[in-house]
Amino acid sequence: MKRTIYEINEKIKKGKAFVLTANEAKSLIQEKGTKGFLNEVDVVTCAAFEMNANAIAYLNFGQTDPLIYFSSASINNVPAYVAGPSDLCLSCVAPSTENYKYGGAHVIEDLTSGKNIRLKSIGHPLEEYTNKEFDTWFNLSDLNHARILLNQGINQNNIIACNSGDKDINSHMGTLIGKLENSTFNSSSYLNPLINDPFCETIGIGSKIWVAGAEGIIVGEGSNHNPEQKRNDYDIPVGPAATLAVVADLSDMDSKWVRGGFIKSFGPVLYIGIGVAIPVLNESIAEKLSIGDENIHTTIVDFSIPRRAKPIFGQCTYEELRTSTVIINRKPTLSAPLSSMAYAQEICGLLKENIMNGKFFLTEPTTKINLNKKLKKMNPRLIEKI
Amino acid sequence: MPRKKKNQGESSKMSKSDSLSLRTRRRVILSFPPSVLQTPITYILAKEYDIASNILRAEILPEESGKLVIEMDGLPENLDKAIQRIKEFDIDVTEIARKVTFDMDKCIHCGACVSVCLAGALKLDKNFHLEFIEPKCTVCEMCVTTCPVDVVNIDI
Ligand code: SF4
Ligand code: SF4
Repeated sequence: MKRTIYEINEKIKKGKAFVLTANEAKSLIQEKGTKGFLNEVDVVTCAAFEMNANAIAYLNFGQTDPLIYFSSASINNVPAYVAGPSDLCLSCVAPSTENYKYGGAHVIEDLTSGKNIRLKSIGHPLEEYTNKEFDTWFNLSDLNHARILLNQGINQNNIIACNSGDKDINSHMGTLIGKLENSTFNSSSYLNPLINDPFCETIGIGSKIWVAGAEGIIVGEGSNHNPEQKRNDYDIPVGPAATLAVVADLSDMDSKWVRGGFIKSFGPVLYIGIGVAIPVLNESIAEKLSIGDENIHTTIVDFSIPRRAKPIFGQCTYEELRTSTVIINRKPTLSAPLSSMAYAQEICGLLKENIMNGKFFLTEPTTKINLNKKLKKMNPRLIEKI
Repeated sequence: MPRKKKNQGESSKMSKSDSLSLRTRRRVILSFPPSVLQTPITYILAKEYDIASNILRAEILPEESGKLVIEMDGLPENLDKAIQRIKEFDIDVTEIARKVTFDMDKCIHCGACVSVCLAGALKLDKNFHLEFIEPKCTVCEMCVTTCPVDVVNIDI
């Protein structure tokens, strides 16, 4: 049996689509087999609530009187970049000049929750744009528009971080206690959209997705896209692999799913909820949807050496990791996640509800994700090549 | 911020199941009668009980009684013994109860705090929600600085 996205959308319109969350889908496949599953289910919802570092907000302010051409600006003391006379870009990792634990990500959270925040700006002294300084309180509703680019909004798998050294290390993967006392991992594994669609058969450029309650769109491959990562026997990459860039409008977001965070010795980060609906088009897609944590592997990386290439302690499955003890180098080590499975599960449920209520439709991607790209490394080049 | 995880030195080879060997911190107010002002308390704590003490406040006037607020850092059993010993010097000991609290309305259940809680006081339940098993908490405060969204507080 096969079905098309068009047919699924028609069913959604009539309120007849059969939608399951990734979690429910796995148990139904176990019960009915992929064929039985394919016959019944139209859509499976996947989600992640992970930490984002590679994100910027683009804000378009209304013009002032007299006109202003920003030369520098800050929002809640977080420096912003000028992107046009009255446009600003705000990096979610930029820290405030007053409080290093507050950054662009927190501004984005404050914007989506409708809080009043402070813009301080200086204008270029130009002939047309004469406003030299503008200082105001504003909130999201005062902006013409505010959108966010999550340049690594969806991640296909990640690593497990640990530390065999003597000293503790504060890293982007949290506090890693020395002598392999703990380990952290950061993936929604069996709920993750790119684990459920490991070759991006249904997800592509132009796919509509759910971003913190708003409609987002996949715009391309993301930062650190590494589709050539090794795959296990179930076609799941065993470490960081494909990533997708997503654009969404801040004004439709629910602030519950947008949270500014701070990681010690790393800086401000943004936690944002992502939901993706996977159409069950054919048997091969149904088969991929059956993969559970016991068949999703990830690579154990030792952070004790602060270099690009780090030592590796082999692999393990998310099933082991989620028991909260994993054996690393023959030592039982505490393992804990950094991305919220509770929220990911809730998002799967919300998106399912939206589809069943005819509020969210599936889209045919316009362009396939490039899975033949090499991840580049940056090395110094002392001679300018012509 | 200083933090402790476990006994260093000889016992550092202990396996993870020996979580009782975790160092913990306790704050106490010591009230000295004039006669024992010369007692080298912090020296005794360090030398005999492997306790690092951090003086948070001192009010000692010569020829009068004094007050000292210290934070003691050591193994739980040593802390108990040390407090007993201090009392024998005729020093009045009042413990300041400290605990960590979690603002569960703001918690995103990420699990970052679970990763640093070697005492096993934090875990995720089967629905992946954070669960705090307070009796196991040694108030090591590791979770306080690790929580990315700042929802763990210390109550004194
Ligand atoms: S680190 Fe903070 S937000 Fe994450 S589970 Fe712990 S208390 Fe909740
Ligand atoms: S709950 Fe926090 S303070 Fe208590 S033992 Fe665990 S990490 Fe330490």
